[in-house]
Amino acid sequence: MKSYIKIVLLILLYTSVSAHPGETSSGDNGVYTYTQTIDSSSSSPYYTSYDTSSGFGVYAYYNKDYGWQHNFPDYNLSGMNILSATLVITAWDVDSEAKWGTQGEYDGISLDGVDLNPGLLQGSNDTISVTEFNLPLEGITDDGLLDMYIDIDMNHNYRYWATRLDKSVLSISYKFIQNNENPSQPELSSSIPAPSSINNLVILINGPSPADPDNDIVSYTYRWYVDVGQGFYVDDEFAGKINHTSNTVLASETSVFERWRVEVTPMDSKGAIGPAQVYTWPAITDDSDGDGVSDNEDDYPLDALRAYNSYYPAYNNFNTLLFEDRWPKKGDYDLNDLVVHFNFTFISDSSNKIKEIILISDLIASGAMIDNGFGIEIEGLLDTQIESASIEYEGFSDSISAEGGHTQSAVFIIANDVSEYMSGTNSFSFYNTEEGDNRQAQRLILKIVLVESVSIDISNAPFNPFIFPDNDRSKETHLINHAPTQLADSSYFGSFSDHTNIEEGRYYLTATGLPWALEIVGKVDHPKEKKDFAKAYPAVVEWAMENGSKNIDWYVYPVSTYIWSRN
Amino acid sequence: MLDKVLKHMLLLSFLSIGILGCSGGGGGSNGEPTDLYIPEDKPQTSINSFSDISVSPDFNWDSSGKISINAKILLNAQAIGPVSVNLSFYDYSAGINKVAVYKGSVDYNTSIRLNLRLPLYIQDFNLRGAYQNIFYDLNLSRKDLQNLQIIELSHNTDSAGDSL
Repeated sequence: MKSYIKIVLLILLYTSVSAHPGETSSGDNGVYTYTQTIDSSSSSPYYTSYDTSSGFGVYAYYNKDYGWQHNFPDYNLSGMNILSATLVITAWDVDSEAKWGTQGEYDGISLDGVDLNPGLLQGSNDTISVTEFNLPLEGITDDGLLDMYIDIDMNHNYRYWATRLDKSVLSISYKFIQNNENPSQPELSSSIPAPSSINNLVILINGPSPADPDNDIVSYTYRWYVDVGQGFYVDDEFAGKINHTSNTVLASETSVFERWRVEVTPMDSKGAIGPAQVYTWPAITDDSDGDGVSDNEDDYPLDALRAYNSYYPAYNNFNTLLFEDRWPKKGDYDLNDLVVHFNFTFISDSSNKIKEIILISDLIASGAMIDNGFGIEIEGLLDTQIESASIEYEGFSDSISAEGGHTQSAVFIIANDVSEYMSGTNSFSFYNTEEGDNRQAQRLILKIVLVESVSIDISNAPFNPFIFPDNDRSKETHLINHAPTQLADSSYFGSFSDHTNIEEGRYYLTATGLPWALEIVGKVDHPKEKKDFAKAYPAVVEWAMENGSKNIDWYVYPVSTYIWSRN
Repeated sequence: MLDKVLKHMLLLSFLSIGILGCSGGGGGSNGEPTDLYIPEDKPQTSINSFSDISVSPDFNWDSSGKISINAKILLNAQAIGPVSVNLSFYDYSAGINKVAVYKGSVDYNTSIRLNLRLPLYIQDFNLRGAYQNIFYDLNLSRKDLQNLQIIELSHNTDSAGDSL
């Protein structure tokens, strides 16, 4: 009889275990925890081992996918509120590290045919790994049955990667709260739906309103996933990132081409969770303004109309312009009637066309008896192509227009009278040409913005700078062999010392080939008042007379007694 | 472990960088006036007035000159977006390493022509190509600019599966 009873009890126990292998424990505050482990010892209906090359405890390849089942018996009890629900899978030799790229071992886990987050088992070579999956509530509460499935090595259809599942553990915490509604699934958005490498990822909760049907206060938990090039989303910390738990991932934590996803789970003030919502961003781009130039290379990463800076003579380098102002009469050749150090910045778009020109003119010296104006003609640019232009001086910017009367080029008058910026004093008749006169350069910045980017040959810089006396626009002085503007009076040509030959394209030179203006590389100091340029720079004589073949660096050997220099 | 190797190679080539033209005089060591020293190889001349100088008709008094560079980018990968090209020069005596002059871009397998005006004393250049955070730096002298250049940039990635 005893033996019979034992057998009956064993059968009942076996039946009980087979039908309900989970365990429920009670904790504080009426919280229950249901735990159910499925492994190679589990039996039908939860798990059936079909052959020895597949299933729990078996090191299996791509063609040995299999399933198992968890259940949650209390899923439909009145007042049952789920506080948390996770599935933890322990496995061996999961080679899903990011280093493998798209060729790693990716073993997908699904619940009732829906892929879980993260999208695969997370682990490393020849180690035991533990992956925790969040479970969607609807997969639990629909029928209390959780049909699980593993798709081994999803990226290969031949024997490549293998893994071994040791166990699958379902854990559900729940509580009986009568008349409590779960919080609603959140509605998500991002302020920057197409982020670049300089944007933070911020997830916003837009609704619904109310967030909870019975108006409980709702808080949210955030679980972040990232695809760093594997083709699947894994936990951010598994991908080598910080484990983010707030609604923000800083731009410094992201990289170009990564894809990020966040899973937001609502929880009401009683601890009950609602259905999670997932938001996925497109791949992080490295082109914030979408102009085709990556942010790293884009000098204007937030401006699609601008991409690159180019310079003349070079970044943060200046060349020098020196003028004599007595044209067409030969001057005294101290070449200091106007001295300007200048630098061009050319801002181009992604197709290398110029969108903006910035000319910095540092007015250094004025040894003139007359009030000279200073302007520049830019060939290849028309005033109709100009969106705006301005002159900035001492932090204040004034709009200007291209000068009228020019149909073949754009001309800008930078200063109608440079003496407004460089005036004499009781002590000095001029500006920075006399001994002891050591005043600051006067910086004028001309900015020209074009309506549409245009092709401009920047090798023509400094284009065509010129001076003109006493607001007389008919009388211009240019660099040698630079043509006058359309406002100049050509009747001056050939008079006095000028030996211009328009037919030959030779302008502003004497019969012996001397110029009235020079452009010199670098910031070159000019002669003092009435000091001959050839005495200030003796090596220039041989350089010029030998057609540039000798003393090519003549301008770095000044004679100090003849030149003005800043103390 | 099942040994398998997957190799991905990105090849970035700069091809055909040639100087098309160069005008003007020669070059020195620095654009800045330095001191009073006049070396012996720069003898004083009997002419000490600028007005007395007489030059040949084609002399333009230029201390800078134009150069034209044709650069062609060859990229043996699926290219998305332009390859940035950045030209700088080295100015050793100024104590500055690379001095930026030009920045632009070119689609792969097409050419870019750079027309620039540079101080004649500049002799050494750096041409940088940048594509999807992969960079290639090419140092060139004016002389080098006249020669054909082929440069490769490769990235390798290995992968392995589990053995039986």
